[in-house]
Amino acid sequence: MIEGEPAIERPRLKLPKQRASWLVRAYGLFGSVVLALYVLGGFWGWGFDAGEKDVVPQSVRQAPGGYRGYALWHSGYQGGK
Amino acid sequence: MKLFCPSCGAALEFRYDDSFVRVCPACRSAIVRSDRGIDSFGQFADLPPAGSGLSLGDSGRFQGSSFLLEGRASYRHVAGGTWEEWYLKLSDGRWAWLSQAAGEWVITFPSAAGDALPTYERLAPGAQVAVGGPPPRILTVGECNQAALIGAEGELPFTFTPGAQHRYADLSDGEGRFATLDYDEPGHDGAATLYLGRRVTLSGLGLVARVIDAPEQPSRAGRRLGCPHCGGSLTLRVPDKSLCVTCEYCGSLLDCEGDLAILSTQAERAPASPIALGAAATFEGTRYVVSGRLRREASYDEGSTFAWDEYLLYAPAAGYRWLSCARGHYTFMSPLPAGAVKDANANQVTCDGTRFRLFDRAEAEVRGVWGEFYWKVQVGERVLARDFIAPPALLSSEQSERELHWTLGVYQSPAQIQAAFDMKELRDERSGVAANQPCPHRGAFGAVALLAVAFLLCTIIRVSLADARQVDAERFELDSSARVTRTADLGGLAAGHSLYVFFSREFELSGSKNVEVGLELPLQNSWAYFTVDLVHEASGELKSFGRELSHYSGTESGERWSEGGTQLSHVLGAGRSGRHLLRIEVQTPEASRRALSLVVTEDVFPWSHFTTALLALAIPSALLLFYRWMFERARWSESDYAPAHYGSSGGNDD
Repeated sequence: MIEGEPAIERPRLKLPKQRASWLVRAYGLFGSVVLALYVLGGFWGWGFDAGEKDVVPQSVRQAPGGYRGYALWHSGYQGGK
Repeated sequence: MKLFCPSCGAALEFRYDDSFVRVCPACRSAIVRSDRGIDSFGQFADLPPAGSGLSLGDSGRFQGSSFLLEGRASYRHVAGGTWEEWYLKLSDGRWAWLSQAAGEWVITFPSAAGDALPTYERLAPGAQVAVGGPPPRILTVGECNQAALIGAEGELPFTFTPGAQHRYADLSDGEGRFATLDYDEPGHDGAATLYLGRRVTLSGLGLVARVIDAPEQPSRAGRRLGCPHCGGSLTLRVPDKSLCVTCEYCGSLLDCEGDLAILSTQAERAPASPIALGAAATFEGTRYVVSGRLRREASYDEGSTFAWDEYLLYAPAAGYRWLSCARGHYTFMSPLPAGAVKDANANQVTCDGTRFRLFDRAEAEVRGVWGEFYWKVQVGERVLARDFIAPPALLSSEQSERELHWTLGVYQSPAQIQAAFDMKELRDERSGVAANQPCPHRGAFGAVALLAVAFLLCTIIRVSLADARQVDAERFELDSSARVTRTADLGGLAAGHSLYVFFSREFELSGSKNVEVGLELPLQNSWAYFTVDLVHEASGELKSFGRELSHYSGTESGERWSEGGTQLSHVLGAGRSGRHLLRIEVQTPEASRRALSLVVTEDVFPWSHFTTALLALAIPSALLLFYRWMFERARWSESDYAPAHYGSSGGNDD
């Protein structure tokens, strides 16, 4: 066998490098943003609650019923069986 | 050894002991020498100058040894066409053949056959044969055919009969190795003689390639001829290689060897095409000229057909290539040695590490011929064609009784074709999805997989980092001491419902972590509604949430059932740092005394984030993958070999 000699290069499978489509790039960008929010939200303790709801007076403990929770402002919770 | 030609008396010289035949340069007689003396056994016609530009006496180097071209043999293929083989002597004493095979040069040395080689009758295109060694190499038969030695000059290493047919097989692998099995050499009784070597370039051997490697302007190299059928003027664009040409006026197919004999006549004009014969195009940095066009048609068992065009491209430096066009989709294709493709099984092959899947298998017939070709193509010529795909790549094989040809193609977009042919405009006439058309949104699988892995990693890291520090755990009794009884404080509370209010102990929160409030109340066929306020002691700011807890169970038709539960948890986002307390308001119709358990934990894994992010990623991922699936389904609807997950196969109608 005639080994060791460089053979001429036959056609090889050389696929052109193509950029991802706009849709895939948009998807990647969107996914990256979601992941970033997911990571940062976990790290900084973000919640889905709207934040501050109200300010209660310091005397709230002295009059437990004096401050009304949201459900009691009107007619109270109407759920349950 | 010097002697005289027995035919014409000219002086001859055998320069090497292993040369047996010398062609007399004066009378073209083949002079053979033996123990009994010298003899002439026939006369050759004059040999034209070698198409390669090589000539006797040219020198080069191979594996560190110099060599001289000492003889030339010209062979005619049984199907037409000729090629040249050069007998060369190396300074280390070896001799070899330098020959052209499938448009490329190979150097082969006589080799020991080793184990018994297969007989010619047992060979078939595609068969694998172990040769050489140790260790033996597996080479694939690309062609087993016949040829006749029709001319020679200089010295040759064996005796022969001018014009007699001899059988041979060409084998190769994908790494440049090449072998020829000759079956009818004198003295071998039909046994195979093995010549083993590899593909080379003339420039790599130090031989000056005066024609083959020289830049050539095809239009200027053209040779003008007259059609014997209609008298029309013809121009050969590849005069040294073309074996047949069609007359562009009457459509006659003419034999380029000799005096332009009419091979056949065809009335059909070439269908309109944006690619004209003679047009120049640049692919992979090489400039080609369109020398021919075939219209081919595949027939299927159910009676349907599929037609496509194949344009033959030629460049002096690269040889022949193909540009196929099916339903407006183009693929640029290059020939491969037979051994470059490995059969995994009937439905899959591999090439250069890429797995290709069978897409189509049909008998393909030539239905139209226009231009010039390097073989004597005929309308009606049939081969077994198989297409394997790994989009955008396509592997195509064409197999006849004696030959197997593989081509490797890559899909070309209309923009690429327009650029290759330097067209001002090319209308996109694509219809359907081509066998090897890449998905427009390629990379979708990779992007989805990448995001999925990233999401998983983020989740694992987040879970492992969640401290879950318990900051408070208490129990409260729903009894009269916590019950709000002042009517003014009860607002619109329904009759029969009780309202309880509790305050937790104070606890410290860091302010940068979320907080989980866990509540447990042992309810039985009842409910409770919690309004929970997380109060920042210093500022009085609070965060609130309201949640219902209910638990019902019973027995119906002998089966126990239950719904709801006795526990709930709610995660609040990070707020201020400092001391906090919880105000818990419980509204319930439950009258009996119950114990309410409270657990407050800081820095828990936020499952709500997890599910929200999962949904946000899953929906577009699913849409992207669905588009991809639809595209692949459309592709495979044209195949009889569709994977099961792309649905049943469709037709192959043109």
